[in-house]
Amino acid sequence: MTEIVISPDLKDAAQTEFGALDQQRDLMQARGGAGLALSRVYGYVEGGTDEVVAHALQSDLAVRRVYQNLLRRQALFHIPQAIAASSEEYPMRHCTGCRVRLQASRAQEDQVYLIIELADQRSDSPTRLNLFGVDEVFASVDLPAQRNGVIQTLLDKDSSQARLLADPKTEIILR
Amino acid sequence: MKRIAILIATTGGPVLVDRITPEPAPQSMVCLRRQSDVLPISADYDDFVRAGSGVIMREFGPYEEGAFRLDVSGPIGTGQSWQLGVFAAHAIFKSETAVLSDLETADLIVWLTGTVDYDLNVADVDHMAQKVESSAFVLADYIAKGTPILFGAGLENAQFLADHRPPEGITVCPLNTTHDLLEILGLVANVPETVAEESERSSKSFILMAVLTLAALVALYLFLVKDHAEEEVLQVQTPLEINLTSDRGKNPIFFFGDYLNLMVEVSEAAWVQCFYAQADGKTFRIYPNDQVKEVTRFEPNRLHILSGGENSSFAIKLGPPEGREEVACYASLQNIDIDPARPPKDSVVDVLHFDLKP
Amino acid sequence: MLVYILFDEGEDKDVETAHSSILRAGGKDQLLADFGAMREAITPEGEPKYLERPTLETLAKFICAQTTGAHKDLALFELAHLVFAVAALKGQGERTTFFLSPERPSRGRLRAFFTDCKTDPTVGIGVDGVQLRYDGQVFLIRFGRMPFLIALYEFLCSMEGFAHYVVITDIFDQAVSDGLSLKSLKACANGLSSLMRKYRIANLSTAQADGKFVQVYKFLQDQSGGAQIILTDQSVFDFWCLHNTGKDYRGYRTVFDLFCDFAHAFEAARVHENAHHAARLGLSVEDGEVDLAGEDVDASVEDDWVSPFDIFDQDEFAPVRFFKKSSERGPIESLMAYGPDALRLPIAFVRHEIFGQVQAGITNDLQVGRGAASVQTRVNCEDVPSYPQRLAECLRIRDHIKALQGASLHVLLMDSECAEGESEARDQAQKAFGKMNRKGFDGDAIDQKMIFEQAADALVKMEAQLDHYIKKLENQNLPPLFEADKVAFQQQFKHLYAEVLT
Repeated sequence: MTEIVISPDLKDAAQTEFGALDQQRDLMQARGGAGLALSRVYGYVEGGTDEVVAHALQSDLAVRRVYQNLLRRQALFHIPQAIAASSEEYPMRHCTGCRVRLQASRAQEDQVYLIIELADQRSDSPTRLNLFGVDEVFASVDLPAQRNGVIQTLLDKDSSQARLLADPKTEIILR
Repeated sequence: MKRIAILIATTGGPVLVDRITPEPAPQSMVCLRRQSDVLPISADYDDFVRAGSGVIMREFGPYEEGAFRLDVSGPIGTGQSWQLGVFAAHAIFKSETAVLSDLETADLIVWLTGTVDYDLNVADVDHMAQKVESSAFVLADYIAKGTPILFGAGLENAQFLADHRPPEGITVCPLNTTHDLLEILGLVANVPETVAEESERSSKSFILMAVLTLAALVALYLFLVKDHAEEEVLQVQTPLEINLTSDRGKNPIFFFGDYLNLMVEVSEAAWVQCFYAQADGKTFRIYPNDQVKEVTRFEPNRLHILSGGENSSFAIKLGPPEGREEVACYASLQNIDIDPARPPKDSVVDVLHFDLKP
Repeated sequence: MLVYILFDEGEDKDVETAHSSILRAGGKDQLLADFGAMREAITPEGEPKYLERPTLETLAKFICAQTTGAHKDLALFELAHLVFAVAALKGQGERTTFFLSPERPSRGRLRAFFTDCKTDPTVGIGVDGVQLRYDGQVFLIRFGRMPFLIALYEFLCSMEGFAHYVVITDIFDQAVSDGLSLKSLKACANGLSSLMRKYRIANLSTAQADGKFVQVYKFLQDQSGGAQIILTDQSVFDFWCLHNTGKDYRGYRTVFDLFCDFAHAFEAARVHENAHHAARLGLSVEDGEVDLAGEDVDASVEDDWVSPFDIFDQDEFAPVRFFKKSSERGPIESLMAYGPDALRLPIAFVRHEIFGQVQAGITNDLQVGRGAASVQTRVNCEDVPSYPQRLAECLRIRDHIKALQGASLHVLLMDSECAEGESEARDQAQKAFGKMNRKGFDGDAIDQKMIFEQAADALVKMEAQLDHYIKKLENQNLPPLFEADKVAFQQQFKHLYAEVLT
């Protein structure tokens, strides 16, 4: 049999070491209680689909904030809050190389066209329109591919996306 | 004003062109059921409309607005066979003598499939048998009502349709170019409305034949299926067979709120039981059910409309959960309860798989 | 790692519950959530982004690092270097992609990331990793270390609901803008270390671990009787017999782990005591600053044992099959995972392997409701491999490892000239390679030279571990020991599972 002589002089230091080992073992064994890793949020920023992140963006302010922060760094187009108020129902928003506007549908009064016009026909066309309203409200629109420098889709007029786009204080980030 | 319903034939069932609206937007779009759901074929539709790449603006323009919104009744998948129907719809939209109509109030139903090239030639497309098969259920009611129906397609496709002897009430029109179609519809200036007039003239006979038309369409369907069935018979000598399909064909896509209209055919007089398996694993028996007062054997070699038909005792409306679902119909010579987990050896089964979406 | 095997094979639920409750009892759900988030990080294909071992295990070690020891936050210093290197080689904007991409950070992918990057006089790419030259020294971050550092970066940014993300980003931005110097890197590491210190205080509690430690210590004190406190293989079994009817120590494997950690803790304390770590350099301990003085910083990180199989689990090893899972890897998996801990208490470990497995089987039977007959068979310890059979199995696998070493050597020498006196070794290596009739050991093996290089190192480590274990077993009279143990474990199992058997 192997014998290990335990030195009482080392007891305190060993107890500290033991605490670390024990907790490490606990951590490796524990399951559940999962939070959200930043790489999942980043993957979503990059256009990936992730229902957990999509849900967290609606329900968790911290996730929304970090998503916004990452988006600002990775944005293809960033239209900050407008300072001046607008008298138009759907103010046109723009930044260098990009214009975002809503156009009422003639066929359906309850629907509006979302029209994004890009100055260049770039290869990394935006795939998602992110809208951050006052009071940290968030909504997004998955975009179709651009055609001839235009991305166009339809929104319901009373959708949160349309409402946010109508507000010039909404920050718009295209990624 | 002549009311013309344009049906775009798809393998998932005929899709009605509901409405065309010029819109102050940069791109033309195809929308589903007047909702904000934009169909994936929108980009191709925009090309088809746009002057330069397409033919619609060139043939029917100019319009004050640069784009159109086309509303349709159901999804249209990939491919270009919608072009002929869309072309016809735009021709009617431009016309001063005709308007786009729904099916109920239509004077004429035009069922179309084919592509249209830049020179307005109509070309043939695939999956004709499936398209006809999946249209049978919808068209049966209107044949019965006496609404004239015109099948338009490219030359070979039209030949295929003619070879299978469509029932009276359906006129098959081979199309070389879109001009042929416009002539037939009476949409070309100074050209007599040949088929349309003829159809009107013969509408009385349609009414007289109303009782027979459903059977006739079923015959058409059966004939189309028969080609395949005969081949199979040569390979497998099975005495009892069952064939299950829907009004949207064998591989349909359904959305919440849609009705699942099932059709069954057996090769011998047999008892039939059908089971619905949800995506979440739950299975229900849907035929026979409480609504079926008298359960009898199914007659052989005729199409039985199981659910959703005018004479059906029940309809199936689809709802959550979403996913890949299936209906399995068993036929047996014995009148016994069938457990789908352990069906009797002498029973035969056919399964209809479909995607159910929100 | 053992706990993983327990999980897979259905170890006592009591054990699992007891462990989990330790963290939860202290209100430490945050730590569980934060670490769980790393486990739930997924690739676009839905696979875990980080390997459980070694990446997450190393991260767990870092998070739970003991409060003494100068190098516990050395990883933060390494991380500061890596952040700087990425900025220098790929541009500041690539930092987010490098550290937060959902792709698994395998060595191959990391190597690829750094290929064709712009040159920098102070930061370069070597065969092994990224080198930073400053203040007259060279700091190397190996490709193999990077997955852990990436996990650490993500953990820091994600912990406590991303509460520190902005602060951490600012710290890294500042370090990069300050330029490469010991001062800027230390400032960066200290900033991060301060956050970690607060995090550990808030989320780690040793109260229950302290209780366990004292329990074992007193048990050994009582058992030893005299002035000296002695821990033997038998101590593990005796402690288990004493406590196995309770909730916390029902499983022999749990008790083995407990004593492993206990012995490991004293060994580590002894090493620290002898090491005479350098004193802190006037930093504010209260603020959580740590000593990361240049003279203490070595490119090689503290040499914690990691299973050599971790090397073979890397994605890029897929084209070469070194081990058959059930016959060549499974029997030594635990031995390689435990490393020196297994050798410290070899008899206790062989009991863990043989009879611990029996108990895991019983637990599994009970969980899936296999019934009394199956439990009875296991309780009787029928068909259990004996210790001599276990030894023979180790010898057989050692032969395979030696053959793999030869075959790997052959690949490494394929494109080199034969030096004088080398021909015999080359011949043997070639023979070993020729006999290795399996995937990857063929004419294309030279294309995988980098894999064989890494494998060669791991194989040497594995052989040494097996050698030690074999020697320890050979020093015992195994046949009677096994028979006695069989009777002893039978008795305990009968007692423990009497309710099921009657």
